[in-house]
Amino acid sequence: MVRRKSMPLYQIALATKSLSARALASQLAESDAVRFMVGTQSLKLSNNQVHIVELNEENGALSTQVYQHSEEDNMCCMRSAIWRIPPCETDTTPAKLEQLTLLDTEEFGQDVKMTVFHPTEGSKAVTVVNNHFIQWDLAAGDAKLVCSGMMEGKGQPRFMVGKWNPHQNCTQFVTVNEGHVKSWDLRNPNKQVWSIEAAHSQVVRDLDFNPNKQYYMATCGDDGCSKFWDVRNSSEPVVTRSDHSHWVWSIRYNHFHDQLVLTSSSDSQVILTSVASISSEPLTNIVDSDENQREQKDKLEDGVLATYDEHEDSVYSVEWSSADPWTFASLSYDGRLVINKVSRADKYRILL
Amino acid sequence: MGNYVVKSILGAPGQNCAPISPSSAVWSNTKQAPVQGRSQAKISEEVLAETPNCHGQRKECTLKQIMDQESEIVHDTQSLHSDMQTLVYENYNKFIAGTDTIRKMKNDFKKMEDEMDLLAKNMESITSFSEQISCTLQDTRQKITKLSGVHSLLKRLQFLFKLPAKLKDRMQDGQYAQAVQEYIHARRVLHHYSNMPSFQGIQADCEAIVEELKLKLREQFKSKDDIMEFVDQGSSGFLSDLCLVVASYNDIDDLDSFAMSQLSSFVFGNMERYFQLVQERIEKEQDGGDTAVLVRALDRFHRRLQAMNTLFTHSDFARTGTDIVLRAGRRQCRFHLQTLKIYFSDTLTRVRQTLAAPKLISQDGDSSSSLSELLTSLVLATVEKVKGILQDLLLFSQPDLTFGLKPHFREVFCMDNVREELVVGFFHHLTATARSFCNIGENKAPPALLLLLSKMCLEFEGSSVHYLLSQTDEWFNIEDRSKSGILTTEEEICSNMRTAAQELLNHYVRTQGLSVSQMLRKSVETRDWLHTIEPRTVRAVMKRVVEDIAAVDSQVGALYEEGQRTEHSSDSSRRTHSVSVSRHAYRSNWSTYTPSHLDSSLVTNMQKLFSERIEIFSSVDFSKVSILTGIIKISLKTFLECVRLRTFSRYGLQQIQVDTHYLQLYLWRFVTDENLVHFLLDEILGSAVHRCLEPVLMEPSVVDIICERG
Repeated sequence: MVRRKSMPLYQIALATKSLSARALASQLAESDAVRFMVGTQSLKLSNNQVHIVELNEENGALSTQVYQHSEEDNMCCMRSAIWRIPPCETDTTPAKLEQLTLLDTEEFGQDVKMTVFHPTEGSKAVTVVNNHFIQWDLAAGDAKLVCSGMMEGKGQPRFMVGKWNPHQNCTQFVTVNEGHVKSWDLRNPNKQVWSIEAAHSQVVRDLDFNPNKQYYMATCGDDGCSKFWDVRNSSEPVVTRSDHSHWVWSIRYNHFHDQLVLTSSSDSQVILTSVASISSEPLTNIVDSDENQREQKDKLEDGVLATYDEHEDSVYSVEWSSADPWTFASLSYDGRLVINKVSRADKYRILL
Repeated sequence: MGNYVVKSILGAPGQNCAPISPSSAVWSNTKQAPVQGRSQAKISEEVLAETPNCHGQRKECTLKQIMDQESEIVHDTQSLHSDMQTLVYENYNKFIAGTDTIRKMKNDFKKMEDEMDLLAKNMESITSFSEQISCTLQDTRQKITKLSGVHSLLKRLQFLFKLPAKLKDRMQDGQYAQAVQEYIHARRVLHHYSNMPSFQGIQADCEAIVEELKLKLREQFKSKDDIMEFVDQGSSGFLSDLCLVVASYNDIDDLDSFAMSQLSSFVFGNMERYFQLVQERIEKEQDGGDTAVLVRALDRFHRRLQAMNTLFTHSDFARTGTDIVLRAGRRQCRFHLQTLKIYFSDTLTRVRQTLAAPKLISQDGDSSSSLSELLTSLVLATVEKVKGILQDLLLFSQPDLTFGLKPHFREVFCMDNVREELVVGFFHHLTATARSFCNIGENKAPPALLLLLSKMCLEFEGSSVHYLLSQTDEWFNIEDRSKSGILTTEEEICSNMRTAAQELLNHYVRTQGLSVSQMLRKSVETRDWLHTIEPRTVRAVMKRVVEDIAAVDSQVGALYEEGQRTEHSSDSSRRTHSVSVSRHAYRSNWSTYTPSHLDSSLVTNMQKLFSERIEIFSSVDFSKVSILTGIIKISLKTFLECVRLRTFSRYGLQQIQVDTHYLQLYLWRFVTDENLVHFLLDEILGSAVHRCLEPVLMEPSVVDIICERG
């Protein structure tokens, strides 16, 4: 595949006060507007903000709404809380986020890694702390502990990442410790469903499930590789790619066309890769006309589709838009958010 | 002396001298030597004898004088008397002592005599006793003699018992000559004792073994010259008979076509069987046989067929013969390729073992020399091995061989089999084997092996490939130009070698980078940076990192050239003073991180604008500094990423400040561009400042002191 350099569509520097940022999400419930949320990373909670960036697809303008975390006494510790975005206001002063509930994770440990919502139900969430994962019920307004699971082992294992498996009725939660990936049954939290030992030779930094193929999962890690697994066979990956020149921090399947996979790395690059060979969409179109036959030569193959190198620092996260299947955003440590689109040529090769 | 003095007195009678003086002289003389008993007695006699002479002279003296003289003489006489008495007393003692001694001696002799008598008696009794003892021991001695006789006999017989096992061992070891020798040695004994049942068993065993031995020896005898003999027999026996048949048919005129077809089918049938037999025989011979013999046999076989061809024109038997020869050649080449592959894998195993062996001597000097030794053993020995095999194969294309000159043979054997399949095939095998060590899934190869293999490929690319290929082309008269496109070019192989070397080197950098990274990662991840005390020393892990990198440096230095550094100033003295100079630059850079200016990450951002993007896991050059730069880049980048994931207290940050400064002091010397190290270390400290609750840096002078203290 030809490595193409593409011009960034939109760039925005969020870090006005030299705030660094690692957290990026697309607003999942929003299916009309291309909207991304960025969380800053400062040691002072009151300095931290959540930026909601919306892309106007008509004229390509970006609008940003900034929400401020409330002032609180400064104690440096890791906690997790559920916040509500206040209704949109027009004035320019940053609005304050409204804290709904502070998740009570203290008894499980200090090292709060992440809290993830249920893939479809907003009232459920799981928090990953130390070597625990804790499921909450948020329906009643404040968080109610539903169940918690724990991994034990020598050398005090710690979870680095957690992810809800969107398949199997969302009953499985997948965790990562060092280079190992494990799947747990949330109905019986101490039951391990499957595991991939030493998925990467070094630390696994992220994982994502193929939204359309229930047993397919992608992982990435410090060995600079992205690996694609059929979780029924944990001995070796189906596809391995090694395109980055440093650790891969984030890997994301496109929600609609699962042959498109984004990876971001601390080599400051975002790479769009095609894994058409294991996509849910058929590799070869049914040949019914000469026209199709001609196009078949130009079918998408496995390989790098594009490299985006607008960032100048490590890119810790990348997300597809939930509204537009071709748009995605990436965020680097220096606070630069870049929104890009899949190139027209690649788009046509998938659609036609 | 006494005598002399007396003479002088006697010789002076006519002289008018003082009369007192002679006597006084005599006196004084005697006085002087009173102990000399004998001479003194003589003197007194002479003095006395002198006196009448004196009388005559003293007649004129006064009475007084005479009186005086008389009294003087009396006095002298008295004193002489007393002297004599003293002498007698003194010597009397001695006489008595002498008598005593003699008496004592007499007694002693008597005692001795007695004792001698006693001794003689004792001796007599001893003699009698010893006679008695020898009498008593007589029996036992006889018994012992008998027993030792039995023992030696048994020993000899034991040899017989051991004989079958020994023979078997010899047979297994193939020492047939010794086995025969031993058997002959024991045969007579065995025969002698053959009437005893136990020896019969041994004899039977031995005979069975010897029978087997005979078989083996015969077999060996048969197989030894058998390929030559076989071909000779085939040629002179079978082929000449066949020729005779054909010739006699040819002599008969007017043969009908039926007879001719009968003849040809007869000839074809027989020839086919003959070829089959020859083929089988040759294949058997090739399993570890002597190439020279094989080639001679093939030549003889081929020569004879030539004759057959002239006689029987219906079919080209010579062509079939050449095919058989070619097949033998191809087999030989494959066999040798296999040998080479085995040899190479054996060498690799040996190298691995050497590398895995614990290093008993200090790491630097010695390990580097052993690495280059290993490299030589890898490259030179392999090249020599290939050369040896080529020489062996050269026997096939000697010009005096009948098939050696045929262009068909030359083309197939020399080009396809020797050059392409063997030599080029082996090169491909080398690169493939070397590359297989790069696979991540493969069990981990020691880093030194990667380095060694990489250098090996590079050496092959540089000279060995060219040498071996040109040698092959020269020896086997392969002309490249006429058939370009068919032969694999040297460039193709070289580029393969270079790619393999590059891959191996990249893998080496990654592996070594990873091991340093792991150390750094663990050290950052496991420490509680929020509750750490004020830094007093550089953390041990930093020293370990520098040590490890220095070790890698010496390891790489053993095989690779230094390489080019990027000079940032034309001042040549800078390199030696670099530590202090760069430290100043460094400090001024960091002074921007005073608490008041912490917001301004502008400096770093500006830097980023002007610095090139750093590829962390990028390809490296074949030089020491480039390799080291690669490893250091990976390590420092890991450090950076890990720091960004932690939160620091004021002292935690200061510890990072100390650590980065320490690295800065020691790492610059290993890399191509020291600015790269500065930049990455800046980033690390910058990130730590970002992640610090109370970002107060330490006084640079204190940092200096801590780092200098080590």
